[in-house]
Amino acid sequence: MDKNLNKRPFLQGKLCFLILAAVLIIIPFFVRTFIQAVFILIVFYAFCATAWNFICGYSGEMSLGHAVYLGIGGYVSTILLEQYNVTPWLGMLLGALIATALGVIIGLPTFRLSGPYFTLSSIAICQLIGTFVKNTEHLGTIRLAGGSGFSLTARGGDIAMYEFASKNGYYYLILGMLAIAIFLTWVMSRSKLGYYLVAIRSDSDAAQSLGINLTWPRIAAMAISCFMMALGGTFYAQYFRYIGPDTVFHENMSTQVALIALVGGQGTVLGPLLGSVIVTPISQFLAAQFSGKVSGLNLLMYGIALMLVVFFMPKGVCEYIVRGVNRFEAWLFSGMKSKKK
Amino acid sequence: MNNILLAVLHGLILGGTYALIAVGLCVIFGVVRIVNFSHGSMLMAATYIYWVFYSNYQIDPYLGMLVVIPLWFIIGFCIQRFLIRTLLLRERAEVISPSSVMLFTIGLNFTLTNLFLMIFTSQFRTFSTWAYNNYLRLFNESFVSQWGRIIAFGCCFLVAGILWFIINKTELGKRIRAVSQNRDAAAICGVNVHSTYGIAFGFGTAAVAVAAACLTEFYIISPNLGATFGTKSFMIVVLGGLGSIPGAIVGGLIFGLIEQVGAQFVTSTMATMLSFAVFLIVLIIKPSGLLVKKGR
Repeated sequence: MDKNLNKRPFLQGKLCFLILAAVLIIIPFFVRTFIQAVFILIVFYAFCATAWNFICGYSGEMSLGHAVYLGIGGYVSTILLEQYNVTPWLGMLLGALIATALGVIIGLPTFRLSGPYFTLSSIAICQLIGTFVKNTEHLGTIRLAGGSGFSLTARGGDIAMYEFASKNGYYYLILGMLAIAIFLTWVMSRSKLGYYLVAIRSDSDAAQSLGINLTWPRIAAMAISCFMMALGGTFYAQYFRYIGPDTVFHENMSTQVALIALVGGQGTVLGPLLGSVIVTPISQFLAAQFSGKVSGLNLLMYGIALMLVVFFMPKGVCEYIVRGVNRFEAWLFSGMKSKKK
Repeated sequence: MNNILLAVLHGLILGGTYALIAVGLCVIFGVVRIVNFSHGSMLMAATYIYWVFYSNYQIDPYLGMLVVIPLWFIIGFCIQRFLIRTLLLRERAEVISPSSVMLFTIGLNFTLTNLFLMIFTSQFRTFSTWAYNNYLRLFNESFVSQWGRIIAFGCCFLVAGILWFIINKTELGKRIRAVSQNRDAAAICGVNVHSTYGIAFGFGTAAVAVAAACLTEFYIISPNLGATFGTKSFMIVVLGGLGSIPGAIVGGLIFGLIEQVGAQFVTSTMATMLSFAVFLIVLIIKPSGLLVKKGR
C-alpha cells in the first residue's frame, strides 16, 4: 500500500504546527519595535478570539458582549494592584473567577431558550456594566475611576508584579497563553464536550433526543471561555498600562473579537489565529494611517469586512486555506510520484 | 403637581418615542424572524436625510416624511429581497433567527454608522423647527413639554395602529401572518414568501423613518444615535414579547417610565442601568415576553 495515503494532510500534521510555532517564537528578534507591537496585538486578539470561539464558535451562540469579561479581568487585577498592592498574577485569577461566575449567571437562563436571547442579554450585560463603571468613581471603598479609567503606575519591570522590561516578555507571555488556549480548544474539540456542543449547534432537538443535556455543555464552555477572556483582560491592562471603560467595555471590542474569529473560521481550532493574522495588521495599519484625519474609517472597514465574510465565506478563511493547501499538496505528491515512475 | 406624577407623565411621553422606534423592529422580528441590528443605524440615517432636507431647503421633517417613508420602504424591501434572502435561502434548515443574517445586519450597522460619521462628522445637529421651539404647558405651567415629544407620543399609537390594522385586517396582512407562522406551509398555499418578507421588512424600515422624523423634532442628532436607540429598542421588543405590537408599546412605556421616574431617586445614568436590569430580570423570569401567552 502507498505510504502517502495514510499520511495526514500537511496542515493537520505536527510538522505544520511546529513550523508555525517556531516562526512565532523567533520572530521578535528580527523586527523593529513597532512591528513587535503589532505582533503582540495579533497574538492578543488571536487569544481573545480563541476564547470567544470556545463557546460561540462551537455552540453557535453568538456573544456580542464578550468584552465585558475582558473588562472584569482587567479591572479586578488593576484595582487589586493599585489599591491593595496584590500582584496581578493573583489578581488575574480572582478576576477570572468573577468573570466566570458572571458568564454562568448569564448563560444559565438564556441557554435554555432558543433564539437570539443569549446574544441580546450579552449585549445588555456589557452595556449595563460598562455604563456602571463609567459613571462610578467609588464603589464603597473601592475606587473605580469612572470614565477616566486607570493609568497603571510603573514599577520598573518587576516580573513578580506582571511587568516586563521589554516588549519581548509580554510577547512570549501572550504567546504562551495563546498556545494554552489553542491546546484547550483542540482537546475540547476532540472530547465529549466538543461533540456535544457541535451536536447542539447542528440540531438541538436531535441532540436532546440522544440524551444530551442542552444547557450544561454550553455552560461549561462558557465558563472556560470567560475565564480565558478575563486572563486576557489582565494582560491588556498590564501591557497597555491603561484600562478604561471606553475600550474594554465597549461594543466595538466585542464585535472586533467576534469578527476576527468569524473571518478565520468559527468552530475551528486555528481559525481565530488565522483571522487575527489577517484582520489585526490591516486594522492597525488603517488606524495608524488615518487616525485623526478620517474618523470611523477603521470601523467602516470592519463593517464591510463582516458583511463580505458573512456573504461569501460563511465558514471563514480557514476552510479555503486548508482546501487550497491540501490541493497543492496532492498536486505536489502526484507530481513526485510520476517522476519516480 | 407632585413631582412623581410629573415624572410619570414625562416617562410615558418618552416611552412613546421608544415604542415608536421599537414598533418597526417588532414587525421585522415578528414576521421575518431575524434579529435586525441595523435598525438603529437606519434610524440614524433617516435623521440625517431629514437634516439634509432641513439645512438645505428648510423642509420640516414632518413634511420630509412624505419623501423618506416611501424611500425607506424601498430600501428595506431591497435589503431583504437582495441581501438577506440569499442568506436565508442558504440556511433553510433554521427557521428562527439564523446567526449569519444577524451578523450581516451587525456589519451593515457598523458600515452605516461609520459612513455617516465620516460624511457628517461627530458634530451634534439640532433642528430649529416649530415643534422643537414651542412648548405645551399644562397644570399652571408645572407640566412643560416640547410639542415634538407630544407629537411623537401620538405618532407611536398612530403607526402602531396602522401596522396592527394592516397585519390583522387586510389580505396582505393575512399573507404576512401566514408567512410568519410557517413559511413552508405558506409557500405551499401559493404565498410568495420572499416578497412578503420584503414587504414586512419595508414596513419595519418605513416605521423607523416616521420615528426618525419625530425624533428630530426634539432630540439632538449625531451618528451615535443608532447605538443609543438601537439596543434599547431590542430590549423593548424582547420585553414585550417577540413580534407583539401591543407588547412593543407596553415595553417602550415601561422603559420610559423606569428612566424618568427612576431619575427622581437616583442619577439618570443609574436609571438607564435600571432599565437594562429590568430587561435582564424579565428575560430570566419570563423570557417569552410580558404580553405573549406561553402556548405560542
